[in-house]
Amino acid sequence: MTSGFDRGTAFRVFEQALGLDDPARAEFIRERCGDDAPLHAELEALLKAATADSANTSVLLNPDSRPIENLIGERFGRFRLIEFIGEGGMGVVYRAERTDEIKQTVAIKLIGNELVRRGQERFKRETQLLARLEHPAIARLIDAGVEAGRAWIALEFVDGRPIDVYCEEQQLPLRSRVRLLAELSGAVAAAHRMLVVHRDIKPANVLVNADGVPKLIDFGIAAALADQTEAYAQTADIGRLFTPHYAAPEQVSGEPITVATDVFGLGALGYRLLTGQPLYPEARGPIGYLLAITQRDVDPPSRVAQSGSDSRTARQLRGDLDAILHKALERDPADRYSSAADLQADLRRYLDNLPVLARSTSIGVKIGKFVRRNSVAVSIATVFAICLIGGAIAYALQARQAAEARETTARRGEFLQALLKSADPRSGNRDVTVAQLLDGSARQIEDLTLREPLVAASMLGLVAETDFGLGRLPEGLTASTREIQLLRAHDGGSAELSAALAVRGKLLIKSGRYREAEDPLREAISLVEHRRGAEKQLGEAFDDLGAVYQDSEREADAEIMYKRALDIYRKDSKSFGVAASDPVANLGVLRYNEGRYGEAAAYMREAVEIRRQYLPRDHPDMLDANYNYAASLERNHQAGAAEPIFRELLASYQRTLGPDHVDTLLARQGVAHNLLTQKRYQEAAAEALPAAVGLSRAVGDDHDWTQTAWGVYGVAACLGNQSEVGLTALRRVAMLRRNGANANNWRRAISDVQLGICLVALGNDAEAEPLLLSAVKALEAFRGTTYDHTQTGYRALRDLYAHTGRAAEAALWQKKILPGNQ
Amino acid sequence: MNHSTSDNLAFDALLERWSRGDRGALDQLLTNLYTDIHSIAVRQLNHERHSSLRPTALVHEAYLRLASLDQIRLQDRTHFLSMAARVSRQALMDEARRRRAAKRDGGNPVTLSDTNLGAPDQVYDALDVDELLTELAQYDAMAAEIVGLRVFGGLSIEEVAKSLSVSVATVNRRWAAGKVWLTRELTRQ
Repeated sequence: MTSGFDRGTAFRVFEQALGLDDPARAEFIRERCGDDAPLHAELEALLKAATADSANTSVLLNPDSRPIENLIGERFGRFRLIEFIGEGGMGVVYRAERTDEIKQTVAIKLIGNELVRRGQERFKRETQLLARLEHPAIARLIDAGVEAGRAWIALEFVDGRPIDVYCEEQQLPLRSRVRLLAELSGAVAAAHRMLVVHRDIKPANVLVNADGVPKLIDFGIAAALADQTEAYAQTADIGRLFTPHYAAPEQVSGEPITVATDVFGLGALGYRLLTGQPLYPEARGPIGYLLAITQRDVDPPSRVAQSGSDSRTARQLRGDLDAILHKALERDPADRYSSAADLQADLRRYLDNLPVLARSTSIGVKIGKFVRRNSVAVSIATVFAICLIGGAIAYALQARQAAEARETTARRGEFLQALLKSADPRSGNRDVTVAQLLDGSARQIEDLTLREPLVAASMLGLVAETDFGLGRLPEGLTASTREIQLLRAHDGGSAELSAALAVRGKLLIKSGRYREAEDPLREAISLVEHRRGAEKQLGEAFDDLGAVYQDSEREADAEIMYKRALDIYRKDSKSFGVAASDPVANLGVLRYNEGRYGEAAAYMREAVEIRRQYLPRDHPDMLDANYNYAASLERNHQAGAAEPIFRELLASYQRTLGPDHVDTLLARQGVAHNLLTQKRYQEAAAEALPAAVGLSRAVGDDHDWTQTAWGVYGVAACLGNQSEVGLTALRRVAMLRRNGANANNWRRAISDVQLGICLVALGNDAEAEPLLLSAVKALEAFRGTTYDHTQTGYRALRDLYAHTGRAAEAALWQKKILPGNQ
Repeated sequence: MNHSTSDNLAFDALLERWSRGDRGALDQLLTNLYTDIHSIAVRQLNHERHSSLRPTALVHEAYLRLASLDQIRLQDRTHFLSMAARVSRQALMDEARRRRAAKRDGGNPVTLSDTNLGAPDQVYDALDVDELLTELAQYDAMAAEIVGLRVFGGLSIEEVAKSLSVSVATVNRRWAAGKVWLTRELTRQ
């Protein structure tokens, strides 16, 4: 410890001296120290330290740190402050005018002390760069500087209203709003070409003047001030790190910010302007927004407008605008428009009534939804695998979507992993990140269980739901088990318990553990059955329980559950949205499995109609419903009615995925099969050939899809007067199924039946007869006498014996053919 | 799922009671916070063998965790942060004393690092900081308070001003003085 002076006196004198200007300060110190040399030395040292410190810490030594309200009349560079305009996240804004003879009004932004610090040099460099940024829709940066330790920026003065306020005041029609958004996208694209990213696009940062010209303000300023983002993050609280309802996921998670971040910002702005609602409007505060954006996609704009009972806007948004915003708001930056220019171009295409490009990639897999659909999908898939030739299609489609769903899930998993990794203290990054919040809470819930068991339970519930969304089923089940345990042990409310049980049911179903899902679902139902306001939860639980019963082949019970769900949804179909289509679709599958195709088709049709109200036309759930509807029609001997639907499906896939995508090829094969059913053999062959060739190329000849496609082509060609090429194709398929990598007796029997049909058509009865007899025998053993392919085999044998004059044998086979299959 | 449990309501109610001047509610809140921050600190220290704590980060994490329980409406986050700053200091000092006592058995001292106090790579012994702030409080209680809120709570100048109901200028000057004095004392050989 230093001695010789009073430490308290030293500090107090030092503190007062700091508040004085230089000459007065020297005077003051002389007066207070008198001849106390040690005190004088100490003060000198402290003041020296303070001066050194002020180089880092901006205005610390500013003797004139008056409250900011008093700055009117003060000069900053060539400007004098005239009027206080407002206060933003970064500091205060004044209207100012030039002090020389040139008349110019600017907005001067005074930056809070915190942000500048050591970044003054960088601040100057960045602002010089920004000053070169010129675009009619960007408020120009006119000048910048540091005065008395305080950084200031002079921006073009925009006399306008925030864009959201402007749109509402003017009651601007939808197309005009789209036009504004396109204009802004162009401005952002221009800035991107100069390597400047805005980072904070939101209504408050877009002003529209009286002439209707939008101007982006604060361009690139966030970056110029960020100095080192690390330093910025340390002092900023979470609310200042990102703007809820407009920030991109990568901003929320602290990942690198790129031009894609601005694309998201434009999407979020567009969402607000076109629907009147921000993203995740129900999310409260930064944390709510964070949880929302890491867990689920935004609601389609048209649905948001619909729920705001603006059905006219909803209609206008459905389709193209839904797709454009969806693509701009993809949570993975790589999936968004690759530039603001692309977004602008698509908005222009919309305005010019041209097809928009977003449609071609807007097929996103909704994980939560997929689980719900799974029961439908799988059953239909099973059914279709049995269907004549084209049966593999449905299965194939579903398998593709399942693969996509898994991929998306994996990506989200990686996203979370990356979050967690960045929060790992050992990685050297010790800032509090959002990830630490997630990670930290997960690890500490167990500690919390002793003190706050019910809070811990609610956190576990959140974890379980998040894991469900991410497809982390074992983790989700672990959390769910513990949650329910805690709720039971500590008398948690029945609302919490029922919600927890319902999530558990979903987790078990998604894990394929249908039977175990029965108890939690039944208990959940018993808890919410008579509670008002829990209708949606109850409907979903009924629907889930139905899926459980259906899996256990308790079709009658499943039907009861689906109908109960349906009763609930039908009472008020609007407020349940697309969920109402699930039990309908499931009932359709039940009927389909029973062979009651007419009723199945009616349900499927209803499912299609419900989904059409909420989903864009190329949405996977939409395509699924259409496929199932068309398949039911076809099986119900309404192949003609099914044809346009199959053709529309093909067009959808072609539009969204291109002509060579496997899904497009399989859809084309669906059309071919439909035409074959209608006995339009030549058209069927014309569709089947490109499908088969494409599949050979895409998945190889050993793949069942390829063989099935060649089978369709072979039969169509044979019966359509191109018997030679048809025969070649069918012989090849039969050979592959006998000896190929995926040889399979059941499928071999199917292709033998096809080959037999072709041989009969060619008059080669000698080869056809033994082939058909053994194939039919095999199919009877595999699938019974009423099975489609068995029946086809019977018909082929009947025809063979009929035209070789063996009437008795023909009659024998004829008797085996069911009335509908004549 | 709606997780609006009675516990969150209790937290809300405590905040509200406290804002109406109920000292008992503040005690309860502080006790809860203390446990929370202490456990975060211990975890961080255990994970980061040779590094230091950033108290600001502790408080923010505590804030995030509480807020995440069900997006609790923290009507006055300034008040919360200033409370947390005080609690954070207490929790850190207790842990530092515990570790110092255990030093012979391989315990690590608690060191602090905070950009509010200068370059982020500088670390200070937590107990020294505490001791000096106690000393400073004798010369200028408000300066010590301000430095504490900045260092242990990460409050901005404006937040400190709001929390203490004084002007920004006052906070600026006292912070400047307190900070320079503290860092000089800490680096004095």
